[in-house]
Amino acid sequence: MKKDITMPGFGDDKEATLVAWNFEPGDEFKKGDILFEVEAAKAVSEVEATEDGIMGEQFFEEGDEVNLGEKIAEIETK
Amino acid sequence: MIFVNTPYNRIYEVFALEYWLATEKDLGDDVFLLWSTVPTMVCGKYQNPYEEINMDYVRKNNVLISRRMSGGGTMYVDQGGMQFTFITRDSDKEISFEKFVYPVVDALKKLGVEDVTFTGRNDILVCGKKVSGNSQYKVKGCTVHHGTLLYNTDLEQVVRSTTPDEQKIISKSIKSVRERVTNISEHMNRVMTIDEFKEALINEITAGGKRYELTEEERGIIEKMSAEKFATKEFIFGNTPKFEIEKKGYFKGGKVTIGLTVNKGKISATEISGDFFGTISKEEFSKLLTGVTYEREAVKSALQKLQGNIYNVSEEELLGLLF
Repeated sequence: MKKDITMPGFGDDKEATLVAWNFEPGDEFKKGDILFEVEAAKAVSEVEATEDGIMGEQFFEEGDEVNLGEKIAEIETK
Repeated sequence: MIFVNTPYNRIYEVFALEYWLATEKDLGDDVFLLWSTVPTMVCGKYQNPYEEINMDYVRKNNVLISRRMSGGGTMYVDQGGMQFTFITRDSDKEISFEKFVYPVVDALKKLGVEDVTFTGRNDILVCGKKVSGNSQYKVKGCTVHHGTLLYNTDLEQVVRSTTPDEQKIISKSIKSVRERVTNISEHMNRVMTIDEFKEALINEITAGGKRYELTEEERGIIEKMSAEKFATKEFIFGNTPKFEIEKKGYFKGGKVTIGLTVNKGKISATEISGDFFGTISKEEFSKLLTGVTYEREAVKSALQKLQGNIYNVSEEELLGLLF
């Protein structure tokens, strides 16, 4: 099933920097894997996969500033 | 709150200790560390050290380069200052600096530091000047909070290690840093050595609570983690965002322009042009450097394979051009 991944919120900031993608489109990941990392207000947060899946299209590149709630990728879950 | 004694003066082992406490060793309570290191540049997790650090200066002055797991900017630290770390286990995804910074602010006030304020964002000020910057990372349900405390840090080194080498710029920058930044020791109502200050701060923060000493076995685990991750060039330079540089130099053999694209710390594309005579093609030059870590020693080793193929331009001169 196709699902959207959106930029999560971690504090007062309305946007955050997507600092690292750990999976490329087509890569399989497991629940608990770190999908991507985000930096906001000098804090780096890892975002884990909540289920197994395959990384789909990514709409932002590393280094991009992204508004909270914005769609950043699609994933295919099993 | 448990105080864990940090028996290291290199930052790589301290970072490994923090990571180990966050991901492997649960002491059953929140943890506080207070530590100092030999002169070191500390980059945020995804910063570009080549943009932030005067590489030539730090190499000549034996200042180490490191990368922390938390965000924010590059800073210079030495044994005139100290760093504090809080490690808490919480499932809270929200970023909060207040709960870590206010206890330090309160402790500083109790120790007789004048006019201490928290900016509400990331910094602690004393008499309106910065003495502490703060940053965080979250890993496996833990928050690791870092803060610096300038006590008697060499502020001139702060400038020289981050500023290009022109004397005029350095003089201006030193003045500017002294206007914005200060050392805590200049604002105490009593004289304390840094060790006395540290001991008093630990007592204030932990309310005289438990102290933990690492065992030999634990030190072995931490030192292995440091050697395999935090002290490696891959970790320090490999997290650098993609960037491009172009350097131009004039030598006995002619003008040489080198362009490099560096992705995740490794050279991914090269360009070379100029009016020099050489027996090496652009493709061969690219083959020499592509995939090499963009770091002085690694590039030096790759350039040695040129073996004089660019007439009257030495490998050492090319290296000097790039670093």
